[in-house]
Amino acid sequence: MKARENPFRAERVIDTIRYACPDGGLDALIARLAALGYRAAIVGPHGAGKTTLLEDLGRALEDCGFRITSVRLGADDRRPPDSWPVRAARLGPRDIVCLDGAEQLSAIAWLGFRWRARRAAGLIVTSHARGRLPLLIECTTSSDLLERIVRRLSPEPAAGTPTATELFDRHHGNLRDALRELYDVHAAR
Amino acid sequence: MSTLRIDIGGQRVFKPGDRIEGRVRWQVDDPPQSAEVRLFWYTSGKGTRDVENVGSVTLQTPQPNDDRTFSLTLPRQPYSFSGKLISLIWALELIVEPGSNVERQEFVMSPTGAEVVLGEGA
Repeated sequence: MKARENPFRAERVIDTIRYACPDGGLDALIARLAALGYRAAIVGPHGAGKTTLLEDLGRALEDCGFRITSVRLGADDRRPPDSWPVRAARLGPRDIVCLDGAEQLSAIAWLGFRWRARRAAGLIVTSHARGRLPLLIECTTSSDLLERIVRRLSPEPAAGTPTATELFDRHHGNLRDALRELYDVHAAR
Repeated sequence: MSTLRIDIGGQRVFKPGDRIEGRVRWQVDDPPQSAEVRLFWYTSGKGTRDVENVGSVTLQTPQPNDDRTFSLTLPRQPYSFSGKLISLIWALELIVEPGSNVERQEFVMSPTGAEVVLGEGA
């Protein structure tokens, strides 16, 4: 199968599947964020939807009149990008910083990051563990959730496709990796 | 409700360096602040999407109900291709702001007249 026809191609997954917030949706989450002084953490394991939720939350906050400054740390990044101090110096009371991958920073780098973001109206981070900021939401996954996502992307799974339960167990709940395996299954056809 | 259309005369395959001439039409609710036709390619597949804008035509003083012609020249590369991991897709987009009204028309750019399929005949 050609990449552009694969039902599990990355941009189709991103465009089709967004994080399903529990009760009250994004509005309730923003209300909770406001109650936390716009400084909070989205916590969860790999592939649980933290980055997707952070992106959706950023867009919703932009609609509320905030300016979003996004900082994304890669798997090997132990400190913020070199551009961060310059960007941080421009932050003001309408800015919210969205940091994806806060667990990547050492304790000292995190304290420095948080200090530089002090003038911003808010700081939202994703992290694999609690502790860096008050908890906004904990992202969790389940085989049922994976099953619903797979059915949405590929309503009629072909014979030989692993079940959602098999995928969920094999990837220890990491939905992103499970969907990548399904991409490979379809690519091989 | 907004309606946008890109008309390139039914042609869906172009050769590198070809000139694409077409017509765009739109009907939008709010008075447009800008209207633009963009020529670009993007990747689709397993990894992160790459996008490169190759050219654009800004349509001056757009009206809510409008009809314009445009002309853009294709570069020499990259060709449209598809493998199992990645496809490269050429497209035109008409963007009318505000409201992020977008219409996309995909096409193939290849010297052979067809998308290059990686791994074929191997």
